[in-house]
Amino acid sequence: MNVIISSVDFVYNWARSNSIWPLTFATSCCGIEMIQTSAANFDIARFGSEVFRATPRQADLLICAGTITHKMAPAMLKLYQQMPEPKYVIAMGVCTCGGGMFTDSYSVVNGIDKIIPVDIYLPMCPPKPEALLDAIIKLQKKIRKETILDRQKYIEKHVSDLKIDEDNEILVEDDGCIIVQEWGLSGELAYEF
Amino acid sequence: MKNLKYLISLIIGHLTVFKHIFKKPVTLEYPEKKIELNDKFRGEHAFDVEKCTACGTCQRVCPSFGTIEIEKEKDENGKFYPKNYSIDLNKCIFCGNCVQYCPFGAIKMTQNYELADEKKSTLKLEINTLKRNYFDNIIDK
Amino acid sequence: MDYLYFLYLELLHKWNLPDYIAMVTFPIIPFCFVAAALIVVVIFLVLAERKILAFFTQRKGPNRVGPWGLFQTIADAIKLLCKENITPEGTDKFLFTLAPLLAFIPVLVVWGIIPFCNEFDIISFSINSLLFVVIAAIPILGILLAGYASNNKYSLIGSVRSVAQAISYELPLIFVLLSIVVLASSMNLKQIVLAQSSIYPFCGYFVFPAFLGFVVFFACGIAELNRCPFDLPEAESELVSGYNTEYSGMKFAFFFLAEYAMMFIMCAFIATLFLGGFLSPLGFYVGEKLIPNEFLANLSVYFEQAFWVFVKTFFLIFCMIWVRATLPRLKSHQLTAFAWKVLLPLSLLNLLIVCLIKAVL
Repeated sequence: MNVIISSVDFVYNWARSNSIWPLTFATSCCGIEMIQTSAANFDIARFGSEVFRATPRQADLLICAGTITHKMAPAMLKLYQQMPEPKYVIAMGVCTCGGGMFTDSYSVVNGIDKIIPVDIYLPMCPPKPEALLDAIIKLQKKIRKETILDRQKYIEKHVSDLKIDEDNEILVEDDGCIIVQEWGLSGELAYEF
Repeated sequence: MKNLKYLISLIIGHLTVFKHIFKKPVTLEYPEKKIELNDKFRGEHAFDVEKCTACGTCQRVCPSFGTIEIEKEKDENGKFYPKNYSIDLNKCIFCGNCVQYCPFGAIKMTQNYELADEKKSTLKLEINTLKRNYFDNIIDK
Repeated sequence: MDYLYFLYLELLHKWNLPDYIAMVTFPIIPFCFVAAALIVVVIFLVLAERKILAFFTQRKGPNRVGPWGLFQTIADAIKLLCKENITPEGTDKFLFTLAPLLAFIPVLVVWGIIPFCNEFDIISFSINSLLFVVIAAIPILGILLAGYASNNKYSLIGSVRSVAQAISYELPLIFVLLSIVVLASSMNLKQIVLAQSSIYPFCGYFVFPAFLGFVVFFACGIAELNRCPFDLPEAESELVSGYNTEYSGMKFAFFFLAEYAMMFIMCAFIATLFLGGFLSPLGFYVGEKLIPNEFLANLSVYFEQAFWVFVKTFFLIFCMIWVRATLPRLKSHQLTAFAWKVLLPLSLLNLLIVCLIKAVL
């Protein structure tokens, strides 16, 4: 039984890790680096990922390239929920990792992991194209480690508790809107010149 | 006449594209080969504890809020030193202000840009990591 | 086909099997050949497109999976099979499932029409070139159904565009086909190929008298396939992904498969009509001259003929990828204007020229 599972795992993971189709989702400046990654000098096609799908229904990977504002967050969550399993997320750039220089801004989500589960965090502002390729290689390594037995667990982990209501705002169960909770400055000012 | 002009430019365009198939690909095979970086490249941080006096200049000039955390303490001679020092890469924008403004040159930047990680917590560079970066990348050079 | 059947019958007689087994099992063999060849061709066609596009832009293309990236498409196929199959709410579930099949199955049928060698044309009757045009239009219906059933505005606009495009471009296509029929005096594809043979190598090909028709047919073929620069139904910048916006996993793979298989068949059809199909451009067959054994020589000639069909087809596919690498997407009104104002008059002119040539010769 173990032999069968491991061989199925091998084929399944080999296939998935070698054809990661990203979603065309570039919200700001990191998107330029993402475009550069797929251009001639760095050529993301070598890893079989140059098929940037425009529709989330056919994508495997959400490269979140750029700042996610509270206004954009429901759209991103919707796109993520529309992607079919198995799906992965790379948080590209510091804005998506932890807020970056907009940490104390009233309009920016401090890290997309508050909204969707993230597989690879890629800091720097913005990361070099090589760094994005490195992130994709690390994601491939992560996919190869998975087994088909953990798939149910994986799906459960990736179901987001968050829901989008009619006003296009993200809701957290009954506690109200997380967007509202995070609004306002964080108290102290960063600059004390 | 106008259409003929379009036709000619269409053919010229196709030939121009066809030329490229004989040229050598410009692609850099990334994980095996890497571009040589400029000395001024701003990558992962390195930190020399012995030079630092925990003055907090780096914290003040940092444009992103709460990136650098310093916990300062006095030693026997009455000099301040950083007991804990951490740089959160989830917030750092690699502007290099801390390097430029440090009066003692304690912070340096290495050429490491492969920082992607599965866990968010490991991206917070603690003092030991920063020290190791310093020994590995700055002193060895 | 009769000769192959005769060989098969002899083989079964050697194993002491009755005739009716041969009658029943013989039609299955070409079908298996067609299905297997379809999958193999599509897998390597997708890879070839990605590689050639990469070379046109001075990139390297997929090269990590297997030697020279050969298994890239296989990985893609397995991944698409394993992906979650989403049927969104509000779709017409029956039509949503039917549409990819309707786009894919006619492609299998059309394969039988192309004569791959002297004896191998599975669907062979007097007007089978007309059947090609008829069946090749059915996938458009699948696309229309996909757009309608998806309950998505982008899908609907994309599919309606696809239908409008197909209607505009089918006309010049058929006019050019008519000119070929005039030249060959037959509507059977095998007869059309045989009519192109001449004493000098490749001089009898219909691409010379009907060069204008060749260009028009090539442009119409690209438009029929919804490929760049006529890929308006899938325009990413306007409609998310066109008619297949809501399709994921296996169903999307069917559309993908159908598109690329149709691309191969369209190129094979153009090669058959204009570039002499299975005729050798050298003027003779190598196997015929080298192999003394008559049976083996005949067999090698068949393989050689199939080889020439594939060479001509891949040359045309290369041209299609070349066009894709060069031209940007047209606007909607330019697309229709190009069909009605440029291609249709040109195809009529081509018909006139061909008729004059036929009358003079």
